[in-house]
Amino acid sequence: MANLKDIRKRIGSVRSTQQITKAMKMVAAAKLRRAQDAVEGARPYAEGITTLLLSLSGRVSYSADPLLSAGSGAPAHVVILTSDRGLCGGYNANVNRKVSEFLASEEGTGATLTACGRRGNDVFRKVVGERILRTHVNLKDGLNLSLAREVADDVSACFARGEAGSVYLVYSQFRSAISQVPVVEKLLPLEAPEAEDGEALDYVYEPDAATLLTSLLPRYVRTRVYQAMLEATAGEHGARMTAMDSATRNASEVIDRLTLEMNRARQAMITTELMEIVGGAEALKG
Amino acid sequence: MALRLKIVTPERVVVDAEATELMAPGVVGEFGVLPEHVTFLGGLDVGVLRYIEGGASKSVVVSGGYAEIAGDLVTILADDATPAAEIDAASARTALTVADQAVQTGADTPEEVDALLAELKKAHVRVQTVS
Repeated sequence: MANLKDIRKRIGSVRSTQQITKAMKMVAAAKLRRAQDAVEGARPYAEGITTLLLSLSGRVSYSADPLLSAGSGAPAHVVILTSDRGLCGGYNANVNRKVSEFLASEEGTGATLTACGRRGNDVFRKVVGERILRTHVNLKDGLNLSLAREVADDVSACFARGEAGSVYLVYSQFRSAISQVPVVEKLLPLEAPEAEDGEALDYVYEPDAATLLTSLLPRYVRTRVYQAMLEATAGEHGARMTAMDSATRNASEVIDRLTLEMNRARQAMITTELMEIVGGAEALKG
Repeated sequence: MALRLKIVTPERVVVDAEATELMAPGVVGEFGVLPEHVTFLGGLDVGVLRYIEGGASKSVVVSGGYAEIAGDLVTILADDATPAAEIDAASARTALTVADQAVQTGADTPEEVDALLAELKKAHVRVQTVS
């Protein structure tokens, strides 16, 4: 049986680990709330842009813009959204698995990558090496709007030049704090959002509809990327909160078990001592 | 009759107000909106959007985007929007100096030059609005 001092030391170390996981859980919960607010805040704009695109696309001959054309036979390009930091359960592993599956299905075509977040970059740097065209890692304010603009404009340009035949986003969709679903989403070529029933309004356009549509498409791509980033951020904090919550609970269990063991060891020691005293007394009597 | 004005950026809803009148910087010239306006969709330039809410005139610096007018609902989808009251004069001036220098230095591609000029214009509008 382990000695008393060792067990006490272990309890101490597990307890301090538990304090850290508990603190991380609280921080993740606060960040999750902020991330969810950001998702809510971005919704009106995204809806507005989509409505505009719908009303314009009905009016302008569609396939004129390079972002809408079917794309060349060039290899696919994948944008991976992962986090910079770990300790968030299977969050990054799930996204990376999805990317691996996708790359396996595109085997031999030379699909290229954009990696946002260190966790995805580190994994695929080893697998595909030079085929990671861009990396965005150690992001101080996470996945934000200016990064979304940069990535969206970058992949759009890549697509328009014909270097990529299609562009996909792989990220975790946020369902709830305990459930994030990794998804592969097609970004380019753009598919027109499904029109809902109801007559389109007859607008006066200024300048003409075609010009408006041309300037609207890049914004739509940016919005799609930004929304994916917001979902991914919320997912990361949700996953971390859940992971740290169960780590805290596991630490409690370990502490309980060690406390039991410590009490047993203490009891055993007392018994041994008693036996020795009794034995000594008996010996003196004789 | 009043207009319902909503100014929305990719990150948040900046203004949601009842306005009686508004002036916006369209790409083909400034335009005014009063109630009963025709159904309209236009591009916005970098500039100042003014509206009158409860008799008081308010300004918002917008940079690029769209204005959609349908019935009495005016939706401004701006790339960026800052109410004049929220602009800090000192930092706006600093931004102008920085943008000015960047333009002086020049850039390699026409796209980069356009981006720098847009930035300069934005900084200029901001400074004008506060001073």
